[in-house]
Amino acid sequence: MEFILALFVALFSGVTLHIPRPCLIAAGLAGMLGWGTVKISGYLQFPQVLGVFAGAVAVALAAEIFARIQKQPATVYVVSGILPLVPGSRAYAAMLSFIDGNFSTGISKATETFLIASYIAAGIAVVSIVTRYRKAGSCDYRK
Amino acid sequence: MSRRMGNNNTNPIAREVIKMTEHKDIVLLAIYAGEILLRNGAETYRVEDTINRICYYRGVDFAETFVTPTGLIVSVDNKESHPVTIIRKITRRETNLTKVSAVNAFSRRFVSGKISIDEGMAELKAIDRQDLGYSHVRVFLSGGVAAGAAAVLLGGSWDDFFPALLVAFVIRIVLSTITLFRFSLFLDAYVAGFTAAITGFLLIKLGWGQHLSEIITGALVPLFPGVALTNSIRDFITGDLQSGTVRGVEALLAAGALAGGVGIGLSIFVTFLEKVI
Repeated sequence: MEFILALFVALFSGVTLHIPRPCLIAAGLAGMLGWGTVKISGYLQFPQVLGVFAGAVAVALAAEIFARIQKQPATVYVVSGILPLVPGSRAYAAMLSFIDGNFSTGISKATETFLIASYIAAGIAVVSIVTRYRKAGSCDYRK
Repeated sequence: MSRRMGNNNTNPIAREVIKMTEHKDIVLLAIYAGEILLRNGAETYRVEDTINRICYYRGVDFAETFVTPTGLIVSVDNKESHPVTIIRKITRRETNLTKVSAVNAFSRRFVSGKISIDEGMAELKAIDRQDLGYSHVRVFLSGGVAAGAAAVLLGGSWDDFFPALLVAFVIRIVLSTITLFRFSLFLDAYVAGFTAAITGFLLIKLGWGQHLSEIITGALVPLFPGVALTNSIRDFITGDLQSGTVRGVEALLAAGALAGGVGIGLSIFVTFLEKVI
């Protein structure tokens, strides 16, 4: 059930970002895959940040594959695919702690949020580095 | 369009003028394509690459492009004529990846050489003016469904689906009124967070929905600045450090503004209205 929810989150957020119509399902699948990877990492008792990192890598990898198949920019799939991974609940908890005056809890939650967000970024970065590297070599349009 | 005429013309000055106007046409086309890409949320590398490709494949000897999130500079030069440089500033930005994809497909077709410059310009204008993508109603409804699904996914129960959907609708209505005034990106995010907190709290008080935190965060997930984050990373990797920094800061500020708006909304409720209701 959660997988379908993740697919819905990615797919319908994709509509709000105006991603091209043929890519919608693929973007949803990328989101589902990312969420699934996070879940599996959770069952394997990985540290949480590692799970999110793996999830982001899964999303970015799926995006690159879909991009090759459908001849679309990979960004299209990544932007909506990462949305199920966004650490919204933690940011909310951090905000709530600040309002209550529990600054130490708030800071630790906020740091956790920031760390998870940067691990999402790192996951996308790793995959992009590998694919861009190949592209830089093959793209020679100067006469 | 004027290339053949230019070759037949024996007057060297007239020839140079024709050569230059043709150059200018190519640059105008290339920079227009780049402008559409940049305005609708493409990464810097894609914009520069598209412009360079269009210029080089249409017989320009030298082309250099400099793209930042707020503007582009394109300069082309040929051995026989003067250089042509055009600067274009970007003031309005939105996210429409369908247009990015359309321009991407267009540039692939254009460099294969089957489209003339005039036809290309007309096609780009069509992409720019048309409402490519989805209708407002669809965006509105999908934003709601995405918010509801996110609320349940983040750990809420199914009772939170429709409250989150409603909160997302309210946010979209408020945002669409606010964007008419063109304040700034960050004020919009603040207001979105604030609205989410207030409507979420009211719904809970009215006895609809169970988990306030999931309703609020779920409603805000589709507004997460994912495009800015992704583009920032890609810009850093391709070495566009300025664009990468700018977009990273944009993502950080937008996300911070969302959280800040929620914080203000909640604290108002906690301090004042809690006692009244």
